[in-house]
Amino acid sequence: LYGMGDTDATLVRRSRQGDAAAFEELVRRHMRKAYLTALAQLGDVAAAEDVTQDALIAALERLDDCREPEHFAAWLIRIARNKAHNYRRRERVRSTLPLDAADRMAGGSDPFRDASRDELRENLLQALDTLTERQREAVYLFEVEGLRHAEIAELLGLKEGNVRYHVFQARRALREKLGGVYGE
Amino acid sequence: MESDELKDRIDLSALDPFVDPVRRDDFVAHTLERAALELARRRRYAADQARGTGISIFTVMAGWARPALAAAALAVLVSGLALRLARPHAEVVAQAGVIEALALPTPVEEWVAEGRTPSRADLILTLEGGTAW
Repeated sequence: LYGMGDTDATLVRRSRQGDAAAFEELVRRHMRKAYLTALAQLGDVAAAEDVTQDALIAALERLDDCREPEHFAAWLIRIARNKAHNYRRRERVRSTLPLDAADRMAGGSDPFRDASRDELRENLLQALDTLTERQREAVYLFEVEGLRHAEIAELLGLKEGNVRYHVFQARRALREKLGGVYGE
Repeated sequence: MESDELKDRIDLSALDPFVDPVRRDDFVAHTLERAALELARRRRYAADQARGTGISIFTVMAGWARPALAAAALAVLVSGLALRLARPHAEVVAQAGVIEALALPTPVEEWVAEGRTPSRADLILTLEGGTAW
């Protein structure tokens, strides 16, 4: 029903009226950005997924507060960041060990449960753990979501030059850590 | 510089659960399931608004304004009428009440009621407890 031709502003307006298809398009369009923001903070795939879903529901519930619907993604990212922050604080209070992503994923045929992929993911997360949160956010959005520096800058509320710097630093650090995997 | 980076990407797809379309669709379906109540609430509200029956505090107040004003006007009318009818009786009652409270002798009560100034003889007779009256 809705597609790339529809602007975020249109989808937000329709979602405010309770249009499920419009909200679904918003979810599909921006869930990965929210997820990557949460992952940058949590370093845990499953927890980041949970937080992303919470952020999407919170965004729907507060949709009337979104003053610039054309910048819905940036607004959603702020919600995801806050949710991730709260999640981390809650977990810290509970003093539990980091959640084991593998344990939380159901289904044996899930490609995410593949052993070699699990190992690769662990290596990546360890390497990414040496970066700052901003660097992780920037490099995720650049590498996984495929956004350009200017787009990332707008989403994160940073200057394009800063984003360029964060991406550059993050990529260099990752290449050093993962040299064996990616073969620089 | 950006184009160089774009050509030479680092593969972080292992961290992206949504690469798998089944997993992505499951996530979306579950999210929509959780959103169903809120979406339904919004549809109801939008339908109410379209019918012009949107409920807000101002709508409720506006709805009550006219009957409340009518009731207030009626209350003023009835109260005014009641006061006007009751006033003379109330004055007599009040006057009688004061005289009784002072426990004045009967002749004095009559002087007060008639608004008459007592003569010297009246006073002497009254103070002596006489029965000139």
